[in-house]
Amino acid sequence: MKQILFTLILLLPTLCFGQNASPHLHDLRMRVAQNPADTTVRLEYAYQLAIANELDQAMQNYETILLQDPDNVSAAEGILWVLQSRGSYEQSIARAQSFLLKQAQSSAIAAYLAYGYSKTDRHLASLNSYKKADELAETPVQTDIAQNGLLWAYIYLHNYPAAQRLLKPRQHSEDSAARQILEARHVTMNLDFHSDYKDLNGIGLSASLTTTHATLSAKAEELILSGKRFREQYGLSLSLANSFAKAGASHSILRGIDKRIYPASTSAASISGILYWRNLEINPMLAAAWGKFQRLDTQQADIGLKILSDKWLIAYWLSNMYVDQEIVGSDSSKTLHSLQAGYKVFTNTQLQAYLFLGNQAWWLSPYQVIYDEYDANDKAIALSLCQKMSDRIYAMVYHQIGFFENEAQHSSSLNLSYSF
Amino acid sequence: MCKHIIITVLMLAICSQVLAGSIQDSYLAEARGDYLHALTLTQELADEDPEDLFYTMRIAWLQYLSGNYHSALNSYLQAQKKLDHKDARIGIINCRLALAEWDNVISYCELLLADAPHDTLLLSKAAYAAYMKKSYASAADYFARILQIAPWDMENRAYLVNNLYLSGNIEAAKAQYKSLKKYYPQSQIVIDYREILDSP
Repeated sequence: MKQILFTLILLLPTLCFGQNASPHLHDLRMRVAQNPADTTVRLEYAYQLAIANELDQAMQNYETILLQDPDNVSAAEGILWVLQSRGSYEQSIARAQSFLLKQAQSSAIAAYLAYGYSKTDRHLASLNSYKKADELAETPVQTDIAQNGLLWAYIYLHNYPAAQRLLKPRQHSEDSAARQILEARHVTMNLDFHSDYKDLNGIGLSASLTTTHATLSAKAEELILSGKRFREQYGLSLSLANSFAKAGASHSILRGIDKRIYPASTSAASISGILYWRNLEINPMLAAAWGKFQRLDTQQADIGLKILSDKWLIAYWLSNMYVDQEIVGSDSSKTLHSLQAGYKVFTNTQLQAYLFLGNQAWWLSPYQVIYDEYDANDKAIALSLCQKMSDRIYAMVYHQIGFFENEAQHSSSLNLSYSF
Repeated sequence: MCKHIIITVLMLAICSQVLAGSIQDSYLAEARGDYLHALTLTQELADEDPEDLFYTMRIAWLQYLSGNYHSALNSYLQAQKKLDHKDARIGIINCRLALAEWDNVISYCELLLADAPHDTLLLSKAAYAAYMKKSYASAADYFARILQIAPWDMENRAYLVNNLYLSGNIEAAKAQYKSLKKYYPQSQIVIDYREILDSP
């Protein structure tokens, strides 16, 4: 018995060496050899090679077909398929873009481009390409691929209502992962510290519950002045969203030791649109806010516009506020311009710069209460760095230099958020 | 003990046979699709006998099968220098077809057809190059020449119908289609052109 086993072990390499390649593949290879310009057979051969995970050979054959017939869409698709199977997403994007110059009507190529964008975290570009793929789709399969891609692009962009609209009826199991995300309730906890490096420090805690169409948030904040509890704030907000717009309302109460100001309450309402144009997301925004303090009331209107791409964002807010003082004749009206620009320096890191022009006292929205006091910065510049630490944890560091009566005032904040 | 020694010696002999680089090993490697190994083994043999035409042709063939068409073309040209023969010529044509050198294929086929006007293989290679170049009238001419030599070659008649139609010669296409439909009604071309060419 041992001898037989020994013999078999020694014979094993010989047996293996004698094995032939897959007969179907071999047959196709010979047919390609006989007529090297038969693109139909070579396509089938390349496909079978790719299925057999012979990606280099498959690629070589797809490239040969393109050399022979530069308009061959199936070969172009094959090349993109192989590149994405290898994980060469940047290369697949470059090739898909060049193919689309010639094959502008190909839904499949647009879908490959979109998938490449998605895998490289460019979800707005991905959305735009999937939309193109959907428009160009000629078969139900192409429509399915494009719409499934659109669904995921909306999920990555956190536009859950738009994603929900694309969710197929429950019997389609391929959507189960997306369905799970959309049907889940997400909780986010935020912890916030801020300081002006002199005598003012603050700590805030907020929690929000997000469903597909609504977000409910609650927050508590405490300001400490020279080591004493100076003011506390409690707020509640609710926002509702559909595919095209988000509307929200919030209310806060403030209690503090300065009897000229507290107790106070603030309320705000806002609406913002969600538009996608090419590789951009555009959010026009309108907001109104009311503050009721002990010796003054404020009424405020804001209009803003935010434009985002996968790499950068710019935003502008114009705010007007009327301060209705208790003392007759001392009412005032003022304007604040807020500019914001951001750039994604790495996949998970965004750097943002801010410029505020106008006195920041009493403003409620869009930043909620910045300074609930009589004197504040006339101008401020700021930088923030937002870092995604993991799928659940984000951190943001913000530093502002305000200018008040020709004196620079530094303040910083650190925000940590955890979602589950 | 003696049995063990005999079996071991026997197995070692088999293994050494397997591991030695012979032309048979090269065939086995080719059969299992390992062209790189087949090529390496053949090249080792060719290094020992550089003037051997067979090894040069085999190297060209293995390069061609593995998709290295430029290298294969060079090897076939080398082989042709050693002996200008049909296999080398067809190898050169196939490499040029793979590399989409349509004009080169057509002119080389024309050159060879001057001496062998009835060579249907050369005619079909030229026809395919003309078709890929989208010179459909020229492709139709080559296919018509094949059919003069082999009138019952229904595959080439189907190609003729296709190229006549693509070149705009509808009446001739209809005539050939009629003949194709009569003798080979299951042809894909008959199915594809039924609605276009089936009218009187």
